[in-house]
Amino acid sequence: MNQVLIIEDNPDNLVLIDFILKKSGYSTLHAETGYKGLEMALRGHFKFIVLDIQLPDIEGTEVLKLIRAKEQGKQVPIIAMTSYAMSGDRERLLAEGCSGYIEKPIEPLLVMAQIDEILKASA
Amino acid sequence: MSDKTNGSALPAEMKNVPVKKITIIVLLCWTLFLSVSLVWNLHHETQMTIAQATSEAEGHFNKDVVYRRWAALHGGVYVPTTEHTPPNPLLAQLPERDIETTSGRKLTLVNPAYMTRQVMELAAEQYGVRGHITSLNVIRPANKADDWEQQTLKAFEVGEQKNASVEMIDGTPYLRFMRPFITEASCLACHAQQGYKVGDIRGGISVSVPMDTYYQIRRSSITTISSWHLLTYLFGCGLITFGGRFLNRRVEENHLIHNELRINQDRFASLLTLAQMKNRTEAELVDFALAEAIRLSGSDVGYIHYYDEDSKTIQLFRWDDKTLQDCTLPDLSSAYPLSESGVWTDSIRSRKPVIHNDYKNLPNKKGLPEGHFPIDRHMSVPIVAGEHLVGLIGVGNKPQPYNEYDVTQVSLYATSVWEIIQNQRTLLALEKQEQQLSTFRALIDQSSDAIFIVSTEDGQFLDMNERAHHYLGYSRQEMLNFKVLDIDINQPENFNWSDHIKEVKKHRQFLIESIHQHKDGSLLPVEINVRVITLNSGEFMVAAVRDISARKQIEAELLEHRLHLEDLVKERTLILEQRTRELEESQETLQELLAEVNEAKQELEQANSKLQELDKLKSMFIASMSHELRTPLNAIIGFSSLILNGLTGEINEQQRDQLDRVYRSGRHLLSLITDVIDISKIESGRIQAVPNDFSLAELIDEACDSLKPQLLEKNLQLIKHETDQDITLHSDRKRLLQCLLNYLSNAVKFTEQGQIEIYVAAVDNTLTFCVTDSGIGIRARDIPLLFQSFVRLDSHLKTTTPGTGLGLYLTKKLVTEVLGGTVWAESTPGQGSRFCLKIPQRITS
Repeated sequence: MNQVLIIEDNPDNLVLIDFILKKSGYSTLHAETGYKGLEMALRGHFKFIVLDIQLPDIEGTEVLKLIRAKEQGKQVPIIAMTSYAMSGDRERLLAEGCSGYIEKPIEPLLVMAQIDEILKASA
Repeated sequence: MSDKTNGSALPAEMKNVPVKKITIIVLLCWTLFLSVSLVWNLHHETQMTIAQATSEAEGHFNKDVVYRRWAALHGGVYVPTTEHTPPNPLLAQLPERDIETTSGRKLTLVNPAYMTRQVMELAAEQYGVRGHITSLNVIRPANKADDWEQQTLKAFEVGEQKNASVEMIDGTPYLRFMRPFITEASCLACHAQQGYKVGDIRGGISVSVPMDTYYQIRRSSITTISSWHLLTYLFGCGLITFGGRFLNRRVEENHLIHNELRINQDRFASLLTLAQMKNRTEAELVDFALAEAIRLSGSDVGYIHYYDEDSKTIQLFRWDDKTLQDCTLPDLSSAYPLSESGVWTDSIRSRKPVIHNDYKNLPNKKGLPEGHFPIDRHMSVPIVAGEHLVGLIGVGNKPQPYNEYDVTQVSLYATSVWEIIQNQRTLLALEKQEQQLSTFRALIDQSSDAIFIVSTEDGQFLDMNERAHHYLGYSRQEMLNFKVLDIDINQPENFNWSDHIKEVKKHRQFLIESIHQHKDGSLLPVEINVRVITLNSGEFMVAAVRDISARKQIEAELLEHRLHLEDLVKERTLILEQRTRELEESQETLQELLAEVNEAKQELEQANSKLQELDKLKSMFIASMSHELRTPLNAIIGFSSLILNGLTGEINEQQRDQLDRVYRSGRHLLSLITDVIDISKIESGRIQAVPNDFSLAELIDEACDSLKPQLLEKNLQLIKHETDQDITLHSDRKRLLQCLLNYLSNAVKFTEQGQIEIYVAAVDNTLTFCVTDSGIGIRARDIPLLFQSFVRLDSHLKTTTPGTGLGLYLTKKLVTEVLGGTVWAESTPGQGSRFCLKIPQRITS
């Protein structure tokens, strides 16, 4: 199981993170809306999920909450990626069950290390 | 005071005679003396025993010598030959050893040695005294000397004359005695053949006397001596012990008497002191008396209460200081009924001194109130003044039981103190009266009225104040000789004094106007106030005379003034009415104005809330803008970084250079956006410190670590001057780090070579943090511009160094508005700059 789900509506950012993940040896699946992402997250088995917070249909935090509400969505690590940099955002996300938090813009050279660290911490 | 009299009755050393110690020493001496005596006596007894035995032995010796000498003188004696006395084989060579008497009886020659031996055997058999003739050179082998004899004989050869000692023979003690045996002429008959000459020591005779008898005697003597010693010793011990006890008792009695004397002296002195305390206040006296009562009765605490017989209430007057310290009872000063008080006031109820030596177990005790210190013993004495009970004085917690002496003492005190207080009160009252009287007199003297005391009988002046003789120009003595009619000239022609007095007495008081004549003849209009008073010695008139010449004149003037005043009042009233009207009008205007102001205020408030709404909108706009702006930046920075780092394949130098410009522009834009957001948050007051505890050293380390790449790149040195001990700050770590990083990255940006130094100083509760660089520096006129927004100073680095012009502005905002501190900068162009911030170590939110 080496598959990662990317929930991201911005095509540029999707290509960027997709490229980096594939470069690191993961295979990826994409969802451009929150509902689609939720559906895929609950159906498939992913190593982890990359979740953008601002999505066109529902908020990423809502998606996070809904995934965590289901039995099959309790374990999978979810890494939030957002350019929301308000104080308290990180705490709120972690409280909702987010495994880790990476702020945009990302630094491609560092992002994999950040992801590995989050995965290790949530293991 | 009392200390000085201490020990004057008895020398101090008398009190410290260590009778017990002396007794023990005498007992020890007595024991030693008798022990020595006993040992000496026993020793003497032993010596005597030996001397006696020696004496007996010497007697035997002498007797043996004499026998032997006698036999030798006769050349031996003949005795009948018997089985017991056979012929001596050693004399076999003598022709006449055996002879026969004419009657046929056989006789054999017995030589002196033979005879002596037989005599000795006889003695040994009958008396137990053994004799032995011996020599180092014996003729008869049986006479050979034993060990002791051999030693003695050898001693004789070197000049010893005799030897005597107690030795054991066959397990029995004997006194062995030996003396040399000197060769005499008669001896040579037998011993010449051995080569002896007269005077030679031929050998010795030893005599052994059994010691049993002597030892028996000695034992009995020892018993007697020991018994006597024991008896004497015991008797002596008894005498000494008895004497010691007697002495000790005497010393103790002396002690007691001395103490009693001292206490009495002390008490006497104290009473005397009390009696001399004339000029003290009542409180001081009572304090002194209480302290002394406590001290002299050996008590720990004490109090004095007043008692009021009429209301039957008691009221605390004084507690001693110690009691006040120990006692935490709230209010003690108010009076309360006697019936509510406990057993401690029994002395008032019974009007007698009361002693409670077991206070805790008193049957009818009410119990101490909360906060009262414990009472073990208690004694109280009523204070009686004549027939009246006026209070009680009590003491408590004496280590020993209270006794009659204490009662006497405290009673004496109570009485004395009360007497002194009474005297003082009387004295004070008298003084006060006198003072009042003299004040009164002075008052009367200073009165502007002339006051006379006049006899009702004939109008004679009896006394007067100063004014009374001054106003008519007479002396006091002259005035005292006058009667009323001598100065009062305004009398009707038929005036009669006794009628006048009758009239006066009927009214008791009246006011008249009259005319008095001055010494110089001039006339004075006067007003006289006459009053009849009754004093102890009868009825008098008191007349107060007032010179009314001035008044008469003033009365006229007054009348004129009054008329004028009335006009004036009318005029003023008119003006006042007009003013009131004006005031009412202006008040109305004022109220109108106030209403307008209120309206304006409301408008202002509305505008303000609108403004706040707008501000909120602005902040939301900025937040949303920042998100929207950062989203494309993610792609710009991300992809350019990917390509620059060769993750998508090789690129050429030109491409790398151009892409690097894209990447750096993206980064710059990002920091601009971040700073703008931060500033907008601060300006709208939406950043608040999130304080927590953290280590200053770790914070600085983190800042330095993140600066390392830039330092390495420019080959700059970073020197930290930290505090000796790490400090734990309570502040917003994230924001402080942001500020430190801003200073540090600025320093790196504008320094080409040299070093960057960090200074940290913690003074009082503040922390000062400075970054010094050896960079290009700042011109003095530019320093005030440093912390303003969007200011980038001109320098040759401006174009090559990235910057938003917001960093220092943001730092200043953060430090002053979030961290509650201050910022400043100093610089010398060309040498370097120094940027500092100072914040409180603990933020109080």
